[in-house]
Amino acid sequence: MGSHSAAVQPSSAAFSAPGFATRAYRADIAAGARSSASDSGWVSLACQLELAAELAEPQATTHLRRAEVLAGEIAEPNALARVVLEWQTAPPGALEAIVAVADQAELSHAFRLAAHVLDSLAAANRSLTALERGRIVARRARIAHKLGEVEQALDRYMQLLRFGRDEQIPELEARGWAGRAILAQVRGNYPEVRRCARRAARLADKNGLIKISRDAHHSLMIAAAMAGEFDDALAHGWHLYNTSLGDATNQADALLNVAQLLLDSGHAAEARAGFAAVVSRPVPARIMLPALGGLAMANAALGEERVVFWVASEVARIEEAGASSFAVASARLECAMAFVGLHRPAPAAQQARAALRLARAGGFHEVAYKAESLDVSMPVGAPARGPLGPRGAAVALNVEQLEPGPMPVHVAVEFSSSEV
Amino acid sequence: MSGARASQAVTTGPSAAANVLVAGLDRYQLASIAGAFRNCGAIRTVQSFEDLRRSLRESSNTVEIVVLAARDQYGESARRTIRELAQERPRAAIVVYCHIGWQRDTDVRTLAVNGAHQFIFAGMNDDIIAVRAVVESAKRQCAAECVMQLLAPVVPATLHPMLEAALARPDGITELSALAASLGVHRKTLFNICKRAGFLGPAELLAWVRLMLVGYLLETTGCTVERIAIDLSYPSPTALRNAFRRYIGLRASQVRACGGARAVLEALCRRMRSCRQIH
Repeated sequence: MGSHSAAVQPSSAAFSAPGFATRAYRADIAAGARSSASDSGWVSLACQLELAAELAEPQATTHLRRAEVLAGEIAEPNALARVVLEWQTAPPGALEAIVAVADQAELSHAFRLAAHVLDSLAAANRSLTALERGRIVARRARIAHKLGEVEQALDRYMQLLRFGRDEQIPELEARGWAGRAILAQVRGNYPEVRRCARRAARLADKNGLIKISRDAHHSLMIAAAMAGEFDDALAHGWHLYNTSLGDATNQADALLNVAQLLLDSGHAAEARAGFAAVVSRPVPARIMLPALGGLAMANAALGEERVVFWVASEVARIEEAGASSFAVASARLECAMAFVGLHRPAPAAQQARAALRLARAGGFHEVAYKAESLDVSMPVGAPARGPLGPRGAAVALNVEQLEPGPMPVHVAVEFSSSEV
Repeated sequence: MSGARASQAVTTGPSAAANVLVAGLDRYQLASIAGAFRNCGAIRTVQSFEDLRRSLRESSNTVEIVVLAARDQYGESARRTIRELAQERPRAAIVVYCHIGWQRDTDVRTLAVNGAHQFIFAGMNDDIIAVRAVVESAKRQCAAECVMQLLAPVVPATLHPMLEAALARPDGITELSALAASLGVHRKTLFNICKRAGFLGPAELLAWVRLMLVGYLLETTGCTVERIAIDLSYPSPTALRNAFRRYIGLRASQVRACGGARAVLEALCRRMRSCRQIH
């Protein structure tokens, strides 16, 4: 049987904390990390963990405990709740608090500091279980990926996978496979994405690992969509929607993906229902804006001009409220394309100019290119309605039934920090 | 306050040129530092950051460690002083001693961004053992940063994490397996990264990084080769001397006389040029 609850004793070099907290933080700031008052707490925690990792017992444990108290004071409740939800542990302990702080640093793009906190934690806490240590390795792999250290990330996911298999800890093996799927997606190797994500999904679904299951099915959805296998993609997307019940934001995100798949496969009416269902809920701007853009495209395919004008005005309102300029630029571009589809060149040009302005200012080259090359006088037809198999058809029917009543006067946007 | 009274030498060890400078600490903090440095050298104390800056301008003596409060008795933040120290005395390790209640009113992040290496937090890590460890870590970090500053322009950026890891734990990372483990990668990945960068192999790179650090320590401290070999976990002082001969063609005393780390860097550059000629 795997030593699920046994302490793991790594060699000292394997878990020595590389680097220094203040140096890591300076490098993050130099690389453009968003700085805020919270950073002081993170740096302090990182320094304290670094010290605990340096010292011998019993001082090491004394200082680790003090770091844990500090983490409990500075961890944001939302960040802590996300760790608890992901790990399916309750109530949260000191480990979850420290990891939550690392997540907060990661969200602010202080990747090196986040990595330092995790490495120091692994080095300082000699009583971590194999599962806990593996979960830290998984986060480290994700951060390595975000730092552009793809090979290092892959190595960590491979370690996780082998360790999980050897110790018979399904969660760690599943995390390893899911991580490999994500890296394969970055490289555009979709057969590899499917191979790894299937294994992750199988392990995760069998063992009730909700977050890992969602990540795996998300990868499978993307891989199927890239292969034009919409039936399969819709089935995975709908699985994501169903497993997000109770989590409004993730559910909206899943529905957005399903609606986009329906639009891409030529099912504009069903897509419109899905996008409308998303925009009629209070959701973060990162979900609202693509949903509005999709709603415009779907309505244009159905010849519904009024809604497209409404979407354009809502996007402008959200832009003024300070949403991410990339999301706004993308939504503006979709509005432009929708107006082109409706043979309305003047508003199309206006939206395209707005998209181009934002894209040039933000360095969003793909959006800029598309906005610049959009011919407002030459409508491009909507995707042809392709046949769906039984699974895809069932999803389309379910989504159609979600269509809400009349659109609100204004959409409700949540301007909160995005999730890890 | 006169210059003579403002600057006090608190001698806790053998009479020697002060290489530890403390500024703006209260009595409790001073006692903590004095306890940690007992029998380890003289501590020079100044009251304010203005006095500290003046003291450093007026003296060219080496200062190995500066411990300063986050705010001096006149309410001045250490931020500016740290920034100036980091620029004008890059070889001084900077430790900030944060007072009780630091969580409420100390801008740790700004002090870190301006150049503080390590922090002592009152009530958290200000016991003697911890203070010693924090100061040692600050010295190690300062040395690592100085060496990285020399290496960064000549070593490809993709290899910098390897250099940083080796310099952060020179006592523990003495061979490739340890380096790979500290970075969480397979040994083979180190070879792949070096090959893609078109640079020296990882074992040789590690040897050079360690010799750079040795060169820095020879130049900036009075430590003997024997002491450095023990501290950096070389198999023996002879092994270190042999490494100097093999990689640099100089004796340790010659390296010390020829600029320490810079002498090693010049040898590394010659090695890189000869590699490029061969290929």
